[in-house]
Amino acid sequence: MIIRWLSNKEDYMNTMTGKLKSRFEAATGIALIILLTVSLTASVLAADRSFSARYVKPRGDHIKWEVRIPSPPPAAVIVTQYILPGSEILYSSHPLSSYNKKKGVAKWLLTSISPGLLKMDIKISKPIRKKGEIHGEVLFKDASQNTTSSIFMAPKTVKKALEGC
Amino acid sequence: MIDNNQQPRSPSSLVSIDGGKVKFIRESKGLTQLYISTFLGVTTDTVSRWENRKYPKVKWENVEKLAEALEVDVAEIMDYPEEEQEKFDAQIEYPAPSKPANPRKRLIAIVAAVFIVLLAGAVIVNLSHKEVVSITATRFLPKHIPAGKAFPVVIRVESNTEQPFSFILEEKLPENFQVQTGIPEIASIDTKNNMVKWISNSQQSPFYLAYLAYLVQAAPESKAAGEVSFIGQIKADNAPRFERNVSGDSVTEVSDFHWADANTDGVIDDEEILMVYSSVEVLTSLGVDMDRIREIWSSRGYTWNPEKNDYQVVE
Repeated sequence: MIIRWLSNKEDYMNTMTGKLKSRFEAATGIALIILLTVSLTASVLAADRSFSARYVKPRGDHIKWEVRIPSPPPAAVIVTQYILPGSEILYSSHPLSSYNKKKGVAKWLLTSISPGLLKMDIKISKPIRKKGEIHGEVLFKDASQNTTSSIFMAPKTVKKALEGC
Repeated sequence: MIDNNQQPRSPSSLVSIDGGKVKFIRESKGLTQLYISTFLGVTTDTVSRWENRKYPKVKWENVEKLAEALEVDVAEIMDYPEEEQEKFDAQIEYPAPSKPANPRKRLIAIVAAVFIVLLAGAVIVNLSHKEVVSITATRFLPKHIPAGKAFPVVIRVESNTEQPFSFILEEKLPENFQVQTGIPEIASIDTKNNMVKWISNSQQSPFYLAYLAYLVQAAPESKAAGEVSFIGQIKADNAPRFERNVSGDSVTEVSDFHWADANTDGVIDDEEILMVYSSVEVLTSLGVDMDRIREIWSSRGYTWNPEKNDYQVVE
């Protein structure tokens, strides 16, 4: 009787183990799907909340760039472009806040901006011919962390820069 | 020696006993096999074999002694034919065999019981919990303020509840300071104690109070005021009522530097102007000259012109 009880117990344990195993696998699969969904959603939402900036045309005398403004937008953004010292700024798509001709530093203080893609361009008297002759910066205040953050802009490669001309 | 069947027996005659009954009676009376064996003068193995029916026949004298040790009649331990056995069983109540426990059902029952207890606890806690409304006020004050020129003071009022809240906020200004304007509209100004009061009803969190204050420039010595302190208190008429001091910036220094020039380097830099613009709506509502600040920022810097009592932009 004891042997039969032990045998029944072993069968019972094996059955329970099998059922538990299959349920565990199902639960793991569901958890992975939920985790993947949450991660994808978070990455999409995060993309909407982050700044980015890039040159569209970093060469020649007509320089173009674009800045992605997140939602909600900050109260103010400062865009700075470093061009060849001594160059004149002949045209600016947005009102220029300040320009130090001696250093070749142009600044725009942008307020009341909307979220989305902000396109800017300038025409300069001294064309940019090499990658290192131009770079930019976008400065903004991160309201969530109450800190000032910046994004650095630079042409990617010489080849890609030429493609933009 | 006569058994219940009324047949005389010799002490050495062998009779059948019901080992199961013997064991049941012994255990029910809390007697050990050792006790029985000692009483009868036999070994414990012999008693065990009687109970397990390996020795179905036992000497009559031992049956009598066994009955005496068990404190029962001989008839109760005798192994009678079936019809007699039924009569015997009817006299003795055997305990009903217990059903083997189903471990799975037991586990489900335990989990359900724990869940119900937790749910009941959560309901009780939720019903008994009363949200305590708390309102906080935080002051933002420039690190340096000019003598004779207005500077902004912003107070952020927050509540821990989404419900509209009402409050009374009182600010005590330092000596020789006055308020030029405030938003929302100032409820009262106590010039004697240099205190201003706002009364605000049904506001949503967060809520901003702001005012323009200035140091009355009666004499050049006013610049030597050094550090000055602002003190404030917020009162709410909630249940329960409470009072709390305004936290945040409370000390500022009188100097020739512009209030937006936090690091006092004579320049309003990028970070400083972004800080100003983070409160642009409030400052604009107060009437702060944002164009002037922007002009200083876009230039090489500024200096204080005492004759004009104003800042001069350095081109």
